[in-house]
Parts: sequence; C-alpha cells; structure tokens
Amino acid sequence: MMEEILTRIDCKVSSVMKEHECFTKLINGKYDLMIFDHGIPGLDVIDFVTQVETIDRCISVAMMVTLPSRFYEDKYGCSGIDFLLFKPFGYNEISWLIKEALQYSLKLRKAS
Amino acid sequence: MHRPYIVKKRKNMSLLHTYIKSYRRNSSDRRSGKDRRSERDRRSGWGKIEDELLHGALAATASIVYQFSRPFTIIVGYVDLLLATTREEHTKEKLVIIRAQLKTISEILDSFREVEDFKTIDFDGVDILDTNKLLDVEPDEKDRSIL
Repeated sequence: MMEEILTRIDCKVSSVMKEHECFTKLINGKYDLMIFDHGIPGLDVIDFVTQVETIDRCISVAMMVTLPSRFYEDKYGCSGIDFLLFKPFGYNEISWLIKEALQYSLKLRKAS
Repeated sequence: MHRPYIVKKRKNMSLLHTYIKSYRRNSSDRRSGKDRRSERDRRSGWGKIEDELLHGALAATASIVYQFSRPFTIIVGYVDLLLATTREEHTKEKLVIIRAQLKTISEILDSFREVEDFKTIDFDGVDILDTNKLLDVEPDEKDRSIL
C-alpha cells in the first residue's frame, strides 16, 4: 500500500524485506528518505539506524509507529530517527512526510 | 487539538525537545489531596492503587493502539488510493463517508495515545476511561501564590 501511494505521488521507490538488502541498496544508490516499520520482528532499531547513518549521513529516516509517543521519546529520543509516522496514516500524511523529508535531506546535503 | 502525525527533530538533537510540556498543578489537585512534589495522593494507600490503575489503563490503551493502528493504516491507505483514482461520483461519495469515519477512529486512537492520568467518566452507570484532552487552564489566585 505504501509503495502504491509513494509511486502515485511520483516518488521513485525501492522496497526491501531484509535489513541487509536495505544496506546494499543504500550503498549502491542515493536515496532521500528511508521509511521502515518499528514492528519488524528481530530488528534492532538503534543499530539499524546507526548503520544507515554510517552509509549516508544525509538521508532522512522515518519510522512507522503505533505506540504512544512517550515510548519513542524514552527509547529512541537520541537515535538518528528524524520522523515518526503514527499509524493509521493515509495519502495526505505520506505526502506531508515526503515534502518535509526531501527538504530536510536537501538541507543536510547542502550543509555537508 | 489534534496531535500531528509526524514529529520532526533536527539531526543529533533529542526528540524530547519537541515534547516539552509543563505539568502545572491546578486547584483541583489540592482538593483531591494530591502531593505537590511526588504527584501521589496523600491519603494513605490510595496513591499505590491509583498508580496501579494508571499502569493498567496505560497498558490497555497501548495494546488498543498497537493492535488497531496497523489494519486501519491499510484500510485508510487503500480508501485514499481509491478516492484518488475512481471517476464514479456515487462511489466517491461513499468513499468520502468511509474516510470521514476512519478519521474519527484515527482521532480516537490518538486520544488513547495521549492518556496520562487514570480518570473515568460515567456512561449509563458504567465507568469508562476518560480520554478527553484536559485543557491547560490559567492558574487561579492560589496557584499564582504557590508558583
């Protein structure tokens, strides 16, 4: 569903199912935004985000979340996650995220 | 006010910045016997029970948002995609109605995420969790002297 909406708003999308596939994609190409789900079984979020930032410091990182915000503030407040996308979300929220994330990524690339 | 779906933080800065809130005690706390510093109830034993009730309520609301948010995301996403592609006016009208109801559900789930106190309201003799957001009231004269 996410891929369909992103494609519809003219984004070039690569979707992967595994952590290492994501790293391979990031090493081999330039991306402005990485969106991942907090609920992926066995995923160490902090380690994953740290590795993503090691590959590309200028990429925006968004995590799809379900729990109350205080949980994420406590646990991931100091990680490299730039956006929290609270479920349920739809077309408008994704469009907003893309707009904000692209601007943010561009700013970081200019600064670096 | 409806809480935004997306929370942004600047690189290398804590997300906590975006959520700094002031928890000011209001006059009703004094009447309920709540301790000013610890925010516990001063009446013997009640504070612990209140903490346990809050703990239970937080676990229940977190479970609800966790379980319901995911399927609703799929529904909202496909309704939005259908709304963007359908040309049939009759179908569009129905989809708009469904979308409005989904927005209501989304707002309810947001209010569940915001629960910070254990407070119930009466619904026809049944206690239900009060998820209405409390307004940040201006401090009265007594509050001003304390502050």
